[in-house]
Amino acid sequence: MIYLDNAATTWPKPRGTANVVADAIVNRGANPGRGNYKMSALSSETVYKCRSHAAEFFGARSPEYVIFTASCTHSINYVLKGVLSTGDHVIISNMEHNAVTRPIMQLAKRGVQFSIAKVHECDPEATVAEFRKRIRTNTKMIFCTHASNVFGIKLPIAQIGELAARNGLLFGIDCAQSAGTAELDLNKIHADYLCMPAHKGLYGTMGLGLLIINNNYQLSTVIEGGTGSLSGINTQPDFLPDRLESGTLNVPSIAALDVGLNFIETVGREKIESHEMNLINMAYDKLSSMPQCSLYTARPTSETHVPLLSFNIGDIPSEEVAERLGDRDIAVRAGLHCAGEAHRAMGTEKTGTVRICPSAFTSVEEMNQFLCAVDKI
Amino acid sequence: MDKSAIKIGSYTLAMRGCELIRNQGISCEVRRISDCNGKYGCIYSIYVNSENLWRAESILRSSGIMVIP
Repeated sequence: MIYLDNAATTWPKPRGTANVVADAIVNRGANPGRGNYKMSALSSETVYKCRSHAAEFFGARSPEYVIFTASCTHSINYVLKGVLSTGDHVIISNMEHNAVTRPIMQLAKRGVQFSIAKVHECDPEATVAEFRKRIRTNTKMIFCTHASNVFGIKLPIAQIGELAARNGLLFGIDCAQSAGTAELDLNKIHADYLCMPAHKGLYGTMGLGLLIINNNYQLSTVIEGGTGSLSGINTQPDFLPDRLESGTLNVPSIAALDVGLNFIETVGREKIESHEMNLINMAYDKLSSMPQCSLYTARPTSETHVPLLSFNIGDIPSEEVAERLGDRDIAVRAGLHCAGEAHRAMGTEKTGTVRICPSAFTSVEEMNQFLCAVDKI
Repeated sequence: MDKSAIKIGSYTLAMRGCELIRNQGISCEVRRISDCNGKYGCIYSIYVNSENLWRAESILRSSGIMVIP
C-alpha cells in the first residue's frame, strides 16, 4: 500500500514502537501512580520519562506542565471550556477543525461570544490584522490552528502570540498538523496552550493527546476524578498535571510516544520537514501541470505551509477519486476532513477535496506511483 | 544512616523534585505512601539521608515544588 493519509494518522510507526507497546502491556502493565509495588513504579517511570521528554522537546517549563489526555480534541476542549465562561469573547480563525469549531458552538449556547478571523495565505501581516481588529474589551483568548488540516496553510502563530501578549489575552494553538513536523518551541513563541495528538507527526499511537501549558492560569476542570494523589481530599487537586489528569493514563501509548520523540530527534525534525516538503512540492508541480487537476493553495514552503495538499480532478467527486485510488492500493483522504469552516473559506464545501500528506517514511518512488495513478483517472 | 521523608502531593512533582535533589549530589528515592494523619490520603515521599533533609527541602521550595507539612 502507498499510504498518503498521514494527516489523519502517521503510518507506519517507527521501528520498535510495537515492541515497546507490548512491553508496556506485558512488563509494565500496572496502574501508574496507584501502587507501592515494583510494576506500578515501572509504569509510573514510563509516564514520567515520556512527560520529561515531551517537556524538553517543546520547551515546556517543566514536566508537570505536560498533560496527557485522550486526544488532541480532548486537549482543545480542556482549554476552551477551562478558560471561557459566560460573557467572555474568543477569536478563532476560518481554518479551524471541528475540534475547535464545535466546542466553540457549544460554548456559544452558554453565552460565550466568538469571532472568526480570516486567514490570508502567505500574508502574515494581513492575517494578524484580521485578529487584531476583532479584539474587544471582553476578549479573553485567541485560539487558532497552527496549520489547516485541509490546505496546509500555516497561521503566523509567532505574530499572533505577540498580539495576544500585548493585549493581555490568553493564546492557545491547535498543533494537530504541525507538532513534530514544524518548529514548535515555547522558548521562541508566546503561547499559553499547545494542543496536539500523539499519533500524527509525533509518530505515537492513537488514544493519546498532549496539552502543554505555559502559564499559571488555573483552568477550570472539565473532568474530575481519581488522580492517585491526595485521595483523602474530595476536591480536585489544584496542581499540575494531576488537576487535569483524572483516570488511568494510557501507558502503552505514552511508551510509544517516547519512541516517536526519539525517532524525530534521531532523524531530525528539520530533515523530516524538508523531506516531506520536497515530496509535496513534487506532487504540487506535477498536479498543477495536469489540466484536469484543481489546486487551492500557493506552492507550499516551510514558512507558509505544512507538507500536505488538497486537490480535485475535474468534476469527479473527491470521494470517488479517493475510492479509485484506493482500488490501486493508494490511501488518501477525501471529503470535508472534519473542517467545514475551512472548506467554506476556500469555496470547496460542495465538492470537498482529496488530501495527501506524506510522512518521514514516504519515498519518492511512492509519490511518483501516486502521481501516475492520478494521471490515469 | 537515618532516612527522612519529604511529603509531596503528586508522583510527577516528587519525581521532578528527586531529579533536582540528585542534580545537587544528594541521593534520594521516591515512594508512594499513605499520609499518617489521614488528611491527604495517598501521597509521595522523597526519602533522603537525614543530614541532607534541610538542603533537599530548600531545593524543592526554591523550585516551587510544594512540600506537604
